[in-house]
Amino acid sequence: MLIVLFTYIVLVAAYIKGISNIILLFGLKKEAPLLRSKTDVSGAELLLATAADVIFLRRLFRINKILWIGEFLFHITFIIVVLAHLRYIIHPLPRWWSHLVCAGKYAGLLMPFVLLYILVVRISIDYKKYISKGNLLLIVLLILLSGSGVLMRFVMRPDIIAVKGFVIGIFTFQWTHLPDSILFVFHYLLALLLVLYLPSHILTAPFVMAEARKRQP
Amino acid sequence: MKGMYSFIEGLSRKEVMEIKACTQCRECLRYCPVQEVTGNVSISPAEKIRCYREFINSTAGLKGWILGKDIDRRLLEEFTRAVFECTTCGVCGEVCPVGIDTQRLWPMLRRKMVKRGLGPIGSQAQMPGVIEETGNPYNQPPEERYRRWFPEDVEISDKAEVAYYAGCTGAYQAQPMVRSDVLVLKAISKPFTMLDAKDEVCCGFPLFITGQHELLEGLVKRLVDAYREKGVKELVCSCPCCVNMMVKDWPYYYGKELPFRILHITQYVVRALKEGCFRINREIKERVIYHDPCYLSRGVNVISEPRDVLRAIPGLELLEFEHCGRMSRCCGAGGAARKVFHDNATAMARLTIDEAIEKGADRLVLSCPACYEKVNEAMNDYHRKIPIVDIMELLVEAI
Ligand code: SF4
Ligand code: SF4
Repeated sequence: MLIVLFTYIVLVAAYIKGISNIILLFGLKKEAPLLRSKTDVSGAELLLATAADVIFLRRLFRINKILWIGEFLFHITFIIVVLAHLRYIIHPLPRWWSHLVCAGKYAGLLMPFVLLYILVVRISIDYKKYISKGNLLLIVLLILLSGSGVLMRFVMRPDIIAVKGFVIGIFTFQWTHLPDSILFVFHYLLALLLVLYLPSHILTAPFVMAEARKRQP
Repeated sequence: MKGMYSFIEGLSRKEVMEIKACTQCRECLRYCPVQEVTGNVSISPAEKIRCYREFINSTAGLKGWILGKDIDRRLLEEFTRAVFECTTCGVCGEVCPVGIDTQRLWPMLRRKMVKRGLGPIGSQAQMPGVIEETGNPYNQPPEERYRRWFPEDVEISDKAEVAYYAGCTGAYQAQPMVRSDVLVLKAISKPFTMLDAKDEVCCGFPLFITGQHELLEGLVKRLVDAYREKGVKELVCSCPCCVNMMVKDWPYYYGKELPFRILHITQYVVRALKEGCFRINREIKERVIYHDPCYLSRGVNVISEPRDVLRAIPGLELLEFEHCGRMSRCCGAGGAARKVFHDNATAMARLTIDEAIEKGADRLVLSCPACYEKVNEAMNDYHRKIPIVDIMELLVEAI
């Protein structure tokens, strides 16, 4: 029951955090008060170019190709894994979702190695300068999260029906028992921590990249 | 709830989004010239953004709404120092994987600290008073503005479609540069006008960059109206900081679009060369290296024109710095920090001098009065020296 309560606290906090950020941002003037961003680029062109910047992390590619390989793979695998995880919430699942779940299996397997690669790249450059405490913590959290996920998928599988029942129960307020797997509890708590710790750039970076496109031809 | 909006009030949505969008990846640290000479991570772009984000979150986010705490003054003072130690060169924004417009963000955060009574730093605080009194930030007599450098045989029209703005740094601190500008304008043989020495006041850039914005509207309106009355259609200027201010901020302070176009002098020269109004006659057999000023390259994207001018000089071999164009490294003169954080600025300028010498250049070509002054000064008591020349000075040698 304690975990269920913790889940609600995390979800409510994440919700309020998101809403308060949106209120905060939309309460402000859109244009920089002292800057008129001028651009010759059309709206459609800008949208396409920004989409490419966001999807392929083009700006990072330009300046650090070694790190880019890791970051690009991480972001792709992360999205696939998150989508695959929706199978624990959505019921019934559309048929084609099974392909996504299959892709999620391999993406999930890749993820901890990709994260370790990122960690090694960052540490090997100049540890003190090149990695902030916050980033280090996030990478470690993700390594533990994805590592425990891989273990559950390939080594110590928990009862999948119990897991789905537990997660759906949280969203439908029909709580069931916690699945009988320490690894699951560990993985689940880390996931909640990630929700709390989710960096704000996920929401704001695409808009900033669009502005940068106008400025930097 | 106390002071809830105080850290975001006056910032735009774009700027707050940028503060929230920093991933703390620290790519910027590898390129920041202040980092290069100080190694002090606490004044790095990433740390400045992290601190300011903390200020916002602690006062206006969920945390702020629940706890509503005030920020420790020591933290605010440290942040202020960090944001004023920056040269606002903007290379951090250029390499930023998210694309944060730091060249614009830092002055805005400086303004916030000025509003809180924590900035500006040192002699910067006297600037508004001095500009109000003399029209320039160097406390020099306004009537002397053109006297010491203006070539004798150049005629200025009372009214013309083209006007030349010398700028305070050129007029008082880098006189060979503005003198050459005028000689080049004469060689182009199109009539041009200038304001009277007392009327050509500061463009507002030093005030803008130090976050002291109160006088800006008055200065800008005074200048724009004066040029409008002279029938000006194109305003030519060689100072990258002035050009940046004119292009990006004058329309805002003027309240509408400017009645004329702004051109950097290299843009004007390249066009004149294409139109055949201007000829280069002499050869200069030299290897030169060109330094892109931050506010010309990253500021207003004038990168190819200075190179076109240099390539038009026969015999000249043009070398490039490792980081050039939009990626150029600041010479240390920017951000109104060169007088306050003198040692940093000198160390940065010496990095430019060293690289120019190592690349085997005979002369270092500059195109900004602040760079000109700083690089020149940094060679005092330094064992390595390289002759410096302004791009228009070099052009005058070739015509
Ligand atoms: S603007 Fe230049 S000096 Fe300032 S933090 Fe960015 S890179 Fe460093
Ligand atoms: S490069 Fe950009 S996103 Fe990364 S730490 Fe610097 S400012 Fe933040």
